[in-house]
Formats: sequence, C-alpha cells, structure tokens
Amino acid sequence: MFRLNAEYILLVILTLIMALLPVVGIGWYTLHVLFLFFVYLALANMWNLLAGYSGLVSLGQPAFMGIAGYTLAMLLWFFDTPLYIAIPAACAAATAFAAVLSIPLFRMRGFYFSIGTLLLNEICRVWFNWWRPIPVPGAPVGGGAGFGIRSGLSPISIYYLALAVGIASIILMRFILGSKLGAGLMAIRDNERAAATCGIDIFRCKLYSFLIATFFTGLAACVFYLFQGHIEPTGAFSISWLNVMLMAVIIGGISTEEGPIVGSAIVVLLSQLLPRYAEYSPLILGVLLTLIITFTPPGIIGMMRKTRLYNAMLKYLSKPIT
Amino acid sequence: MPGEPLLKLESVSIYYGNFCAVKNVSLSVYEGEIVSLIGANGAGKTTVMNAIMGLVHPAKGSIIFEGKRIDKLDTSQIVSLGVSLVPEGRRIFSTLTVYENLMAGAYTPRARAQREQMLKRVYDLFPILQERSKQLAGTLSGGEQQMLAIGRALMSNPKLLLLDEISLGLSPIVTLKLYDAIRRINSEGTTILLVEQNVRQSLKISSRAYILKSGEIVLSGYSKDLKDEEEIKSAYFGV
Amino acid sequence: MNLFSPIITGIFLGGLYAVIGLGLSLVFGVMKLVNLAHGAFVVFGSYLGLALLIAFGLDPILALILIVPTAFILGYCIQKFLVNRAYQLGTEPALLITYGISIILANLYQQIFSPYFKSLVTDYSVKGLSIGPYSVPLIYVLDFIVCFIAMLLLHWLLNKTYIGLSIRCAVQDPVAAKLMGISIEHVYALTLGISLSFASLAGVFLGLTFPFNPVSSFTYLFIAFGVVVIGGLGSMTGTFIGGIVLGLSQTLAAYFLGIGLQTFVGFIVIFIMLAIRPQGIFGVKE
Repeated sequence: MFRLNAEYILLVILTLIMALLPVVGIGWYTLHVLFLFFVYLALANMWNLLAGYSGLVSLGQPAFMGIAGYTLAMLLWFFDTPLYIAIPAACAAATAFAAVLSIPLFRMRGFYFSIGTLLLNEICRVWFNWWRPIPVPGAPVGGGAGFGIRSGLSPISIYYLALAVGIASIILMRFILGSKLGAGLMAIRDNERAAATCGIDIFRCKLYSFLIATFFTGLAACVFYLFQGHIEPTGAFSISWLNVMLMAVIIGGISTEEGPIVGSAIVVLLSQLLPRYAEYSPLILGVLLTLIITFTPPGIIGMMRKTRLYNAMLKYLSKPIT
Repeated sequence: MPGEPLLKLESVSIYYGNFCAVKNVSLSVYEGEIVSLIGANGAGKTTVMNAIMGLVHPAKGSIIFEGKRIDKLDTSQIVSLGVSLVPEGRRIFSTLTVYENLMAGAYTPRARAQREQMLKRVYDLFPILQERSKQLAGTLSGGEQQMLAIGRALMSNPKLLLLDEISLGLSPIVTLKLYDAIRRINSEGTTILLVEQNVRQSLKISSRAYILKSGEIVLSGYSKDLKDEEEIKSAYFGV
Repeated sequence: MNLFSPIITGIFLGGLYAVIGLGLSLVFGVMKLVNLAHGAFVVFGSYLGLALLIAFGLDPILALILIVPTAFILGYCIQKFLVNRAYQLGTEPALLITYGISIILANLYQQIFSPYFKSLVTDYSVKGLSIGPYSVPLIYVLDFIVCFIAMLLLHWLLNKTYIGLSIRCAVQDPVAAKLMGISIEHVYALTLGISLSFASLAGVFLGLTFPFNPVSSFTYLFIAFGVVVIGGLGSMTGTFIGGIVLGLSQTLAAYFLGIGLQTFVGFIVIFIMLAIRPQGIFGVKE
C-alpha cells in the first residue's frame, strides 16, 4: 500500500532538478557523468537485488548486458526496428537467455553459481568474437569489430532515458521489497530451511528475482549502448561492468536500499572526476573494495546506520504525511 | 594443600549468547592430583573444559595455569604451555593413520623435540596402538579409538591432562583398562582433571571432586568423603 | 589428416593445466573457498619471471628459486591479513575479497607491464622436439615433466611433512586440530602460500609456453576451475585427468572447429560439468 512520505517528495524534487539540468544548459561533461551515474545506479540496484536480497552472487550480469546490447544492435542494424519495440525486445531477449540458463545455473549452489555465472561472460565474449552473422559488403562487421548502433536519438534524450531508468530502479526496489516476493526473499535470506517449511517456494522466488534483475540490467545496458553507438565483444562482456555493480553495492552498503545510490556516486566520481588518475581508478576501487570487505563489511551506509543522526533523518523522511 | 595450584579457575562465568552455561565457578587443581568434575548431562562440564583450553572465552573471572593467566590466550598457545585435552567424543582424525594421529599430537615445537620418547611412552601404555600404527584411525574399535585419543593428547607431554567423558559408550572392561592407564599416567607425573557422568568410577580414581549442577559448583571436597553425600544424588536427580 | 599432433599437444598441455589447477584445488579442499584470484596468482609467476628476465637476464626456470618463495610469502600475508578476516564473516565476503584481490593484481600488472601480450622468450622455449616423424615444441614436454614434479612435491608436502599433517588435521576436524596446538589461521595462511607457490610455478611455464596479458588472469582462473571441476576436489589423480581432458578438448576443438572456438569449447565443457556434476567425475558427493 502506498503512503506518501517525505522520502518520495525528496525523490520527486531531485528527479525534477535532474530533469531540468539539460534545459538550463549544464555542461556536456557534467551531463555525461550524471548519465553514467544513472546507468550505474540501475545496474547496482539490480545487483543488490540479486546478491544483497536473494542470495544469488551472480558474477554473470555483464553477459546479460551484452546479450541485450547485441540484440538491440541486431534489430537496429538488420531490421531498422523502431526503438520502442527494439529496447523491450532486447531486454526480453536477455531475460529469455537468463530463463533458459537458469535451468543449469540454479543447479549450481553457492560458489558454483558464482563461478558458473562468471564463466558466462567469457563464453559470450569468445562466441561473439567469433560470430559474424551476415557479411556486409564494404564494412568490417561482427566478430571482434562489433556493430554500430544507430538510433538517431539526441544525447539529451538518451540522458532522459538514463534518468528514467535510474529512478525507476529505485522505485522498483522499493516495490519489490514491499511485495510478497520481497517478503519471501527476506525469509529465505534469514533462514532458507525455515522459509521452505513455511511453504515459500525458494526456487520460484529466486528465479523471479533473477529474471527481474536481468530485465532491468538489460534495460540499463540498452541505454548505455544507445549512448555509445557501438558494441563489440571485449567491452560488452568485460568484467569491468561487474566491477561497477559490485563496487557500487559493496562500497555503498550491500542489502540496503540507499547503499547502491551512494556507491554508484562514489564509483562514478572516482572513475570520471579524476581524469588525471583515470588509469588508476580501477586499482583504487579494487583497494577500496578489499578494505571495505575486510574492515567494514556493511559498507558506508552500514556504518552510517550506526549513527544517531542518520537514523533520525531516516525516521523523519519515512514518516507518512497525512 | 601446600603451595600454588597448577590450575586455578576464579569465579568463571561463560555465556552462549544470553544463556549462562557456567556461573561463577572456582576450582583448583594441584600438581600430581587427579581431580574429577562430576555432573549430569548439560551441567556445564564440557564448557569448563573448553574454557580451560581456550575454545570458549569466559565473560567473567580468570583461569590461571602455573601462575599465568590463560583465559585470553589461543588454544594453540595453551597447548604449548602444557595443557592437553582428550575431547568428548574422542575426535580422532579418522582418515589419518594411528601413527599420524599421534604425530599430530606432538605438533607443538616443544613436543616435536621429544616426540620419539613420548611415542615410546604411549606405545608402552597402549601396546595395541603400536600394532595398529599403520592402520587408519577410523578402523579402530571404540576402546582403541579412546586409547588413541588419550595417547594423542599425551604426545605433547602435558603437565595437565584434561579428560572429557572417556568412558562414554565403552564396555565396563574397557573402561577399567582405561582407568588403569590413567592411574599410570598420573603416577608418571601428569596432573589430571577429569570430567565424568559416572560418579562411582570417578570418585574411586580421584583424590578430590567438584560437583557441578546447572553451571554452578554445588559441592566439593575429598572424594572419599563425598561417596555417600546426598547432594550428589540431588545434583543428578534434582531431588 | 591425422590426430596425432592435437592429441599429443593436448595431453602435454593438460599437464600444465593440471599444475594450474593444483593450487585452486588445495585451497578449496582446505578452506571450502573458491579463490577467484587464483588466475591472477598464476600470472603473477609469469610477470615476476618477465621482470627478472628483463632486469637481470635471469633465466625464468632458474628464477623459480626467487619466484616461488616470493609467491609463498605473498600468499601467506594475503591470507593472514585479508582473507582470514573476511572468512570469519562468512563465505560470501571471502569470495568477494578474492575477487577484489584479482582486480587489484590485474590492474597492477596493467600499470607496470602494459595491457599488451608478453612472452617469456628463451632459446629452449622456441625449440622443437621430434617424436618419430612429428615435432612437438620442447616446452610442451617440459610442461608435462613439471606437472609430475609438482604433483610429487605436493604429495610429499601433504603426506610427509608436519605442514601437510597440520593441513590434513585442520581439514578433517578444525576443533581437534586446535587441541593439537595447531593454529587454524596459520594453517590457512600456509595453504594459500603453498597454493600461490604452485600457481607461480605454473605461471612461469605458462609464460614460456603462451603469451600472456593482464586479462589472462581470468582465462587461467577458468582453466584452473575447469580442471578442478572436471577432476573433482581433493583428488590429485582427478586434477591430473581434469587437466588432460581440458587440454584435449581445446586442441581437438581447435583441430575440428578452428582456433576461434578453441576456448569456447573448453568453457562449455566446464559449464556443463558445473551443472551436471559439480563434484567432478572422480569426486565424492559431500
């Protein structure tokens, strides 16, 4: 049931500000950083749903992103499909891919699941490196060269798409956590066996969360590739995508709603705002990740939740307004 | 008793979460003694043993061995100081050979230096272990496994040997044999603290005893005086 | 057309793969932890060999005298100061921390050695050896010999030394091991140290056999994992056979389907094994 509170008002205000930024003529560079932030935010939220709430430490999300990106590229390249069909179709393709793979993947437990999913990235990368669908005369297409993605969208409209996807991922998380599925996931996380005896279908809960996360991850990927205008296997299935999700969630605070927001901001700032040190940013993020897991496993939000000020703020924000 | 005790527990309390398993327990063991700690199932005997070994750490109180506080130390450090436990349920390494089990017992540097001597002593005490030295420990009978567990604990040449329920599940004849061995270990200079449910047996072998009930010591004294005490019965049956 | 060449190279290559898998299998067997940094540790050996070759002209095989102890100390410290702490929190933090370590190492390699492919080139790494009418690269034969040396060494270490005894005790019953005076943290640190030593040994021979770059970290993680998954955990024979199966599947795939799909087939084999029999062909279900 929906209750209006200060949190939603804050979200609406911030969204409006973000939406107005291009209108007031903010610099391209800032806009680009914000664009990445929203893409990362959607990716991080979905990874948090998997690893933080569903006990699925999937390391294979880049594979699903790549499948979505490639589907989008194919539809635009070969069939000139309109975007409003191509984007949902691309996400659906990634989700279908995930659904089929869930049969073998869900047989793997714990570590095996993580390794199996991590392997997917490599399998896809090698396959798409080799795969040349239809030879196009005069253009190096497919294989390692990849495909161009011509959407005809202006950068500002792509920014709005990213904004929509980022904000939608926040709302989606709130919705899922408040739903029956969320309750089931939480029960499973606390005690899998007890949840099973209460009649919660563990397999189905995890599968739904896996598919929802894949669909949204695919959506974020589509937005990113529309912006990039090009897709090739090494970048598409690169584990640097995984690093983004993992670091945003863990640095921000795993299994918290606000963690990915803070974490995505930090990842974007570290990777974009320090251009002089850009080549070191993965290194810095890797060190940060390792230190956080070792010394403050609940992440930044987990630390802040121990302070009284932060809790008072949360309480104020979530008080229903009548 | 003259002089300082070898082992001294001073008002030790141990909690598992909110549950208080051992409440305010004080006891002393002097050099050369056999002391028994008697109590029913769940009275906290094993917890006391685990606390001495550093497997659990007491919330309150102190544990002193040879005048040194050991309640904050790691198990491996406590073993190096010369305390050794034969744990409840034996916990021998069943996929290792008998010989390897004994060698594992002599892991600490101090023990490693004199392991040949100790091995001879253990084989002397339990000749069956020498016969079976190349066999996997899991293939031994229950009594032999208990002998192996005791032999393994002896390999570190401990000053204080802790025995937790060694007669559990064994036939009376085997139990008698084990108790004979314990007397011999003691007469060769090792101090022994033993935990038992079997009251008669343990009072017979020990010089002093402590009776534990629901985590508290309800009675203590010389074993010969305790034999007829009603308190022991009440500690068991709650009369 | 004949299959002699792909089969013989596949078997020799499999020997090298088995060495890559040994360390991963050891760590999993002892700590029930998949070390996602294992591939990065393998490549650590390759890069350290490269650095010593460039800086002092030191022969990579001779340099093992320096590389293996360095790797051991590095592994010991990583386990002692990082992984042990995360391990106390649960298996997922431990898994993620090894991932973090692999990212750090891969990026360090990239900063120091560039993202391009490098090789350890010596005069013996390019020689061929004739077997009857066929010629096999000499280094492949060396790889196979190293595989046997490594397996014998690990067998000796686990079964004939106090370190091995303490590891086996800790695997079987950590509490009883503690009661023997064995420090579990120390055993875990030793285990990762040993694992890293074998990884770096594999890395040196890998560098002599194939070109490598920072991304190879992940390729060799999968190969190591494939070896372990196919062969089953805790069985050295299994690891050896796992290596051979993976080596053969790659060379035969290259022979029948072309170089482009060589690794693809290997990965698919691993993936299928994970799904149908994660305990391995020779493993025992836990």
